[in-house]
Amino acid sequence: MSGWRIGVDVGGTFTDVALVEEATGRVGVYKVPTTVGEPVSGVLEGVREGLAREGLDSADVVYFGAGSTLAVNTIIQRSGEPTGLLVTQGFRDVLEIRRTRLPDAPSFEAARPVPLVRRAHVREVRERVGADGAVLRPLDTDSVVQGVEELLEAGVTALAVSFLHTYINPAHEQVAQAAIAECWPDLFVCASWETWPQQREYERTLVCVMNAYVGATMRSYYGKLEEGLRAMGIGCPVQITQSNGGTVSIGEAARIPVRTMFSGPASGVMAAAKAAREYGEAKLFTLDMGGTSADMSLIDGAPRVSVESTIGDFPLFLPAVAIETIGAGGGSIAWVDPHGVLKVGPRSAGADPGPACYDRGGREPTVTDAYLVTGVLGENDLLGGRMTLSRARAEDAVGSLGEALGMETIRAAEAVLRVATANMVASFLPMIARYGVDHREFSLQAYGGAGPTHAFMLAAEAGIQRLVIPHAPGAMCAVGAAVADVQMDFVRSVRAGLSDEKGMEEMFTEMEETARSWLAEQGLETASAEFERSADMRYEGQSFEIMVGLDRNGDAQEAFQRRYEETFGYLDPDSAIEVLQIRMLARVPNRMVGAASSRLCESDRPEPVETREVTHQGRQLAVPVYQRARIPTGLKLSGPAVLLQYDTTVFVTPGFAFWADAAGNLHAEADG
Amino acid sequence: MSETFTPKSDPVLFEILRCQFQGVVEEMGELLTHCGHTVFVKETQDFIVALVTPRGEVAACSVDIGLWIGVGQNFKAVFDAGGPYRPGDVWFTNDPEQSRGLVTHLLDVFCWRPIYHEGELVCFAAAFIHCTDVGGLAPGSIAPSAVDQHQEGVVIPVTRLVAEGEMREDVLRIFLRNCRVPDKNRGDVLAMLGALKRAELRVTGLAEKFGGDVLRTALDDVLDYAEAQARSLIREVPDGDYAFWDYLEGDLMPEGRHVRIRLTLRIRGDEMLLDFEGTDPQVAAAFNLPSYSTDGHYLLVMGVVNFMRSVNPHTVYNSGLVRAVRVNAPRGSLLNPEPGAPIGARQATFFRVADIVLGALAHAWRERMPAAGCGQGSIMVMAAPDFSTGTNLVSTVQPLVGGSGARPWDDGTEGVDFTTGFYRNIPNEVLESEMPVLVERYALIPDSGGAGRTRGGCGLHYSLRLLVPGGVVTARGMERFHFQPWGREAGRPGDTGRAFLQAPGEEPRQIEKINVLDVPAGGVVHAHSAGGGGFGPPRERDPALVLRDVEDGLVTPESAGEVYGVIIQDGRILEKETEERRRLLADEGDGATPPAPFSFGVNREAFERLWPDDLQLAVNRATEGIPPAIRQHVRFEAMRAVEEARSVVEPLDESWLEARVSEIIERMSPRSTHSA
Repeated sequence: MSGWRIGVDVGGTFTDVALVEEATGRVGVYKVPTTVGEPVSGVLEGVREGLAREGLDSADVVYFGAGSTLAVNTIIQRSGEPTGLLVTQGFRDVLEIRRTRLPDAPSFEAARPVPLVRRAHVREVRERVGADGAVLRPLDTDSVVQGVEELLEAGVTALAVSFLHTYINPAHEQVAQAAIAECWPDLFVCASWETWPQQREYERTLVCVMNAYVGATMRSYYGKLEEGLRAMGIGCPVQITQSNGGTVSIGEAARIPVRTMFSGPASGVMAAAKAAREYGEAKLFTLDMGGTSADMSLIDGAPRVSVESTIGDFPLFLPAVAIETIGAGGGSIAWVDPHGVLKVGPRSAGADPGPACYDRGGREPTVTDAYLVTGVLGENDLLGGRMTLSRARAEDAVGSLGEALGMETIRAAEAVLRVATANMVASFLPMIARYGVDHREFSLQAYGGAGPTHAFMLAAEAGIQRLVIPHAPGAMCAVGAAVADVQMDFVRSVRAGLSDEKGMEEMFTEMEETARSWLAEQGLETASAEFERSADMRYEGQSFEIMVGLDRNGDAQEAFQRRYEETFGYLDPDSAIEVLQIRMLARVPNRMVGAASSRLCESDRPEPVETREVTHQGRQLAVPVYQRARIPTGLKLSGPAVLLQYDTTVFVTPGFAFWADAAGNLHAEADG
Repeated sequence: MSETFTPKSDPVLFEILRCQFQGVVEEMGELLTHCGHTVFVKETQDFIVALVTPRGEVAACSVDIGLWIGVGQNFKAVFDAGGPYRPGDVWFTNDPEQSRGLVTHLLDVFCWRPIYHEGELVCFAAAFIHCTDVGGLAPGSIAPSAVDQHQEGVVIPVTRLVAEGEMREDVLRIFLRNCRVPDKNRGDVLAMLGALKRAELRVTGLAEKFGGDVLRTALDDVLDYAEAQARSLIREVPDGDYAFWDYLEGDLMPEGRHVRIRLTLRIRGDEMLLDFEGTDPQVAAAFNLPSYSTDGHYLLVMGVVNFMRSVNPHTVYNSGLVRAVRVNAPRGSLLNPEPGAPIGARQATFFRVADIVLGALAHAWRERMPAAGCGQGSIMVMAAPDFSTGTNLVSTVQPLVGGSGARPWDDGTEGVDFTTGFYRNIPNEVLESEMPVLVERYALIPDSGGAGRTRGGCGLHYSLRLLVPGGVVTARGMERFHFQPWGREAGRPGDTGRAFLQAPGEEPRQIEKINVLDVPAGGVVHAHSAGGGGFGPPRERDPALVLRDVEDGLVTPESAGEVYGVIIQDGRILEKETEERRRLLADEGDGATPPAPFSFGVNREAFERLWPDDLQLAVNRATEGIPPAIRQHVRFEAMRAVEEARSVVEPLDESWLEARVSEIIERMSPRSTHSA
């Protein structure tokens, strides 16, 4: 009997559990409510339910992967540990001063930025290292111990250590860590050289501080999770998805939890990438549209990685699957400004009270209400009819918007969808520009609660020709956690000219050795491991690097020039090129074989469950509604159509043909 | 009531294109930051990127990146001066006179590129970057003490830099040959050209999809939309004439005289006039602001635009906002000098103008406007030889900003003021790896924020050690060393700024504002910026907040007791003692009822006892019409006469003053000096 992989994703409202059979790729998905404050019990309950429904027992589980939004929420809700910070003398205010620029620069009504660590909890340490790594003032260990003592007295329970220039020479931080560990072996302490060793003191310190801030929460969650799974008899390795889309052992994740900050959404992208590999697409965008936002990422062979993301009020500088929020979600509120211009978002009705049509007290019109009014969504579509929407509420809400706009309700609903789409396109275009790709070569894979509903409207507006709706769009992050590869980033600051390519080769070789021993420590076999090289490069004098993928023995200069021109549209052939950091990504692919058919077709000609009136682009359309599960493999149908499934509704707009593949993915292509 | 706004485009299409235009300019900014070479471009983002209509109005301008001074940049004069335009052209200039005040100091190099669709002009993509150095008498090209514009660097009249896609290398060479850091400037210019090219790609893409006419109409629409938003905001401010003035301090001015900027903000319905009648004459120092009295001039309306953006965060950011804002800046005054006047340090002036606008609005809306912030966006620049090669290294060191003013409902922000809130600082680790320096301190200054019910933000202490001999440090735009940032409604003013020079092995010695300062190897320059003013009586501040400030080291226990009346012992508030102390403070009249709208601090109060408003106005009136080069001397003589004859002129007798001025002119005329 073949083994099963389990993936879980703990979200704010639901905990999703995905079970994937290794031999066949068959996927089963379960949703249970998230237990606030005790996320592990929700996970265990979901796993128990999933195993029972599939008729499995714990011995069948060969792999367990978990992702969550716990760390992100800890930052956004400011519910982390009281954290202390040790800094170089003279730089107590690194978090207060930030990069000085205010988020809404000139506004005197904007809220004050409030750091994660109170000024009272920052201590200066006597030490100094120069920009070249030379020690200018030796570390005064007494000032470290004394500082920590004071902080503990003040109630601090986690500690970050961040001195200047430790990206080039971490010795002082390491000595300080050792001194602290000697006195307080149980204190959560992390240092900036180990969380992410990059230049720029504010950014590096912030990564370290976030790590300490979420450390205890994440450690306790990981501890309880492992304990709970063992108690259930699940003895397989437990892996945690990181922001970079790969997984690490639960022990490694607990050591540097900041790396798992975006584990949930990154898992979703990895699941999309995996699915795309299986159906044979290398170039695609993903669209994950939920209640509050629509997020996109780019997969060009592999998911694009970015070193800068945003969490709440803070930038986070760590490699992560590049995920960009491009616009509104299903719960985003539509409103009319005093000059009669229609706007959508950024406010969201969230899960509570939710859109007006949820009839839980929300009165403001949302994107979901517009779906309902235009007929894209039916009153009984969601969760197999277990959740009913109120058309009357939706019409009231959108109707009042229409009054303000001087439009009929139905026109107002359409306008809401058009503006929401336009917002997405406006963010989408700069995004593809930054990535330097031609978007017409790419398809779009859409998931999340509203992704499949909105994807065709976005594709039509953005000029995307091909779409895919994966088999389980409502639980992609859990699926991703089940199928992700083990993956780890290694980075080394070099700061050298290109002339030293031989030196680079040596460093890459060294790094590969380090990576291999890391994999061995993780108990992984290294024979199947892949090692991807890249370098952060720029023209001498610039401050920002681009990440350039390098082949073994490839010409780094040529690779840089090509990437630079793709990205920025010009070249500066007279300028010298420098390398700032070299990176290595070590990956051990999971043992999954290709996915096979997830379910068989019951009939070869689908019967619509009903025909629905949908208003789209000023026209009334009679749209057939199908159960998605009844769409037979390979049969080509034409939009418009509405497809119902447990966790979402797919709206195929006119002008697209669609069909299902053997793995249960729905494909679509623009006519002509 | 709101202005009605009916876009000529389909209203939904209008919003769609508005989003797209914004996307284009933000992308330009990203590109420029990522590709820029000087820290001032790549870290501080001292640039503007915009889409501009053929009439010269900025229709879209980045807000997430770059400076917030794009609104009101008027490109009409430079568009007219350039051309005929061809696809693929880029024109550039840094000429204040020919650009009629689009360029306001020589470091700002503007570029613009026409964008065509089907052979017809759609709009221009435009940008400026602050070049780190364009020659002149000091590294970084700005010395506050410059006496004319030619000391401030090279001037490029409106010139074609790229001809139909081909760079004119000879033109670029002439420019770069005059700069101290030609390679870095070149990198920045290439990055700027890259941003313009990207804008062209995007806009032509939109034109192909929607049509050129649709785009032209939509660009007009976004301007009309902003105008409608602005007019309804102005309408909310009660009609009236609101007078307010403030000073640029005299240390680096001729004769050490403070220079006053006087504003009457006139609100009538949905129109606003910024009338600077009464402002002091232009000076023979680099603080003049060449606005050419242009309506809606970007450096005079900053306060207005910031106000609009604060009150309504959905305000669209383009020049439509200032169509209803007219300007009167008298010719020959600080804000509209004769061509050729030195202008390098004019940012001290426009930051002060912005504060003055907010002060005038505070007369209209007492409970809505904040206290004054640090009042400086000073830029420290340095030059030093590379120790091994001897190459002259020039770099911006840090924008020196300070605390913001307290808001009626919340404290100010620490270490950064709203008005200068667009500056990004330079990471010390980046600076230390590019320049032979060590940053020794970058920290908030306790007790520098003005006390109040809500507290002003604290100022910053920045210390820079030079590691090689022959180093020079300049800092343009240091202000608020004498006149404190004002408090509001019985809130205390913020602490002033200071500067110190510390020779190796010695204690810091207080110095005046930095002009061009030689620093020995191992010497340390310390700069303190001002804290923001407080709002409301300090004794009304929540004691728990005072305790928190003490714990955080932003307020000392002494000030907590003396100023706030909160007595703290062993980390706890002593309730009874606090109550007593606060009662005492109330009795002493701290926060007399009703409180004055502004507390200006002792130095300004003392100065204005000597020089009340009407007397300052009278001196300016009596010397009006005299050519600037002569007027300065006559005016100073007249002021000395007033100071000597103080008792005679109280109450003010204007005919006495006029008689003195006639005498002085007579005495100074070539005839008299010849006979002397």
